[in-house]
Amino acid sequence: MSKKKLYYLLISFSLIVIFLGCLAGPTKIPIITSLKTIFGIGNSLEHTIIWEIRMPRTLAAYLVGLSLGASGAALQGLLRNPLAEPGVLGVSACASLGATIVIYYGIAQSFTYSVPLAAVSGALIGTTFLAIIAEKANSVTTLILIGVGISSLAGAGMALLTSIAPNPFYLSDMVTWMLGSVANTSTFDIALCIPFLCVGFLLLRKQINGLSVLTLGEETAGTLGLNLARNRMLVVLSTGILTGAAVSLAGVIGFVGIVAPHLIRPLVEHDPGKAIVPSALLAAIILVVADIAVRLFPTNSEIKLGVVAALIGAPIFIMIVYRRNNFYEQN
Amino acid sequence: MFPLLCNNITRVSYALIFLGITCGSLKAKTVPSAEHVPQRVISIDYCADQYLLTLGTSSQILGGSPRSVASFSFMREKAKNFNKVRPTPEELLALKPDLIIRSFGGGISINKFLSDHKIPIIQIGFLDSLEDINQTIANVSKALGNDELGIALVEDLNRRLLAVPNIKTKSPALYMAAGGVTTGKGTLVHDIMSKGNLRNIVDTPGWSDIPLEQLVSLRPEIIVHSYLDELTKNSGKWSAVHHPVTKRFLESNTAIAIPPALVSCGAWYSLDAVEMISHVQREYKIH
Repeated sequence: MSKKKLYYLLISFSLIVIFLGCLAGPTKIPIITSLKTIFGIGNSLEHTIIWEIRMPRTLAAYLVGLSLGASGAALQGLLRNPLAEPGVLGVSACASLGATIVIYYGIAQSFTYSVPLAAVSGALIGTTFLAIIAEKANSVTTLILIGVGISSLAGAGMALLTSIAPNPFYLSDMVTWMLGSVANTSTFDIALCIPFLCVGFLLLRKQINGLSVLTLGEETAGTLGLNLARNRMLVVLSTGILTGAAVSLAGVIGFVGIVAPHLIRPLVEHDPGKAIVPSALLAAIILVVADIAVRLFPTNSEIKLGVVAALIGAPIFIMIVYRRNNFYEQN
Repeated sequence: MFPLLCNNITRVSYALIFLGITCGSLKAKTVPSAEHVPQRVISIDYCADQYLLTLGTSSQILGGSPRSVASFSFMREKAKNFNKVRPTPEELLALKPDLIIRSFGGGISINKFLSDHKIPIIQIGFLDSLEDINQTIANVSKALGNDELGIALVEDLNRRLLAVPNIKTKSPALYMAAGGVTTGKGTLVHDIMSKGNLRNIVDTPGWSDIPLEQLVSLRPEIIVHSYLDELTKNSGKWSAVHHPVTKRFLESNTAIAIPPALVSCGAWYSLDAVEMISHVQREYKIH
């Protein structure tokens, strides 16, 4: 499939799912009325439901998907490992821990941007640590296990915070941080993360060619003029910012950063640079669809978005690991 | 008698999600033998604390849970006079209690542990109505050897409940807790709202997320909530009470604020919440 066709297809699907995201919800609104409301003709009740409740959460899911898809594809290119993904490697959990610290100690009350800033800082610490370890880790398994360790450590940190918190509310809050959700997201929450997302995407965009060249091997990439250290540093920085912003908006949502690049890679000749944008778009589409499913499940309390993402992503993760294992055994 | 309420409320209010979900109500199973009057009684969570502090005599109370003095504990003032005991097997054994009252404290394995060590337990389960509370009062007071106190309390509660006017046309209402949850059929809060002459618009049984879309489409006339001033600063990030739609709704509707201690754990004071809801409606001529 040509790059142009792939982009057209993904952008078209993006528009369709965003549109569906505005239509889907527990309140039954006739399609015609929904359409009128989207185009500004509906009454105030429908306007509130569609523009203030459904649209923000749809956009939040889309932006989170974009960030995690791009981060996953970039990390996989950088670490040359198809299992690398912010959720699996513990980067998202580090971001959650950062955000939790500023919220539970009241810093978020006095400085609104402290939540995304802390989440980004947490994600950067996690990503940097992984990038350093990845150079020394002698197998994929080691890297993944270190990621699991980081994730557990960050989870323990959050559990510790909630245990010593002065009231029991934080327990349920922690669950949402760990499972992820875009329910109750407002346009203000999105606006808070937009600057971070912009910076992250801009930084990552400049590293796309570098990631493509990196597939030739570090030595060859170096002889072709790629500044390896700078490339590595900027990819780590951009994925940290993107993951942190996504986590501050929706909590930890795992696996989507694996699934989308995995599906996209064959369509872009396994070029990690070329995979970033389509992976981001596909991950965004997947998350919006997952969020629509979450809204329509007939449960008392809404299922967390991260749960659905894991239900889709975890089997694919297992399949990739299984296939890699078979590949190494056969060779 | 009751401080409360706010019409066109301007602040976002908060209630006890965990408290409501975990221990909103109680039903008691009595284990200790009837002939023995316990003299060293410990309650190991703040739901159990309310019963021990109300139905036990000072000489019987060996200790209460650390949260017996928390702001959401109704009997917090009285609790200050007693030891605080963490619900760990070691600490409980060391105090040699002759009766333990618990709702959820100590985790699921504590009952077996206490049974293995021949320590009697009154297990208080989940309650979903004022009738269940009456039954629990009777059971706990009997186990403590203070039957008469329990009977008198139940009689008083029944008398007060009969005095609450029963209005046929009930106003549509929604309960909001700080953690972003609400409650439907089969919960104590639902029963309180119903007996206070409100019609809960949430028809989903049990506890569920505050339905933002239902809030907009069903337009409840009254919002019942229990807020905690000290929590407003650091309340959960994910709660629907932070959403602009909810904030706007709270500003433009009648809201009845119930002190969180009244609904955090179902007990004799839960009737106060019924009286408050009824009182506010009468005062503002909602009916």
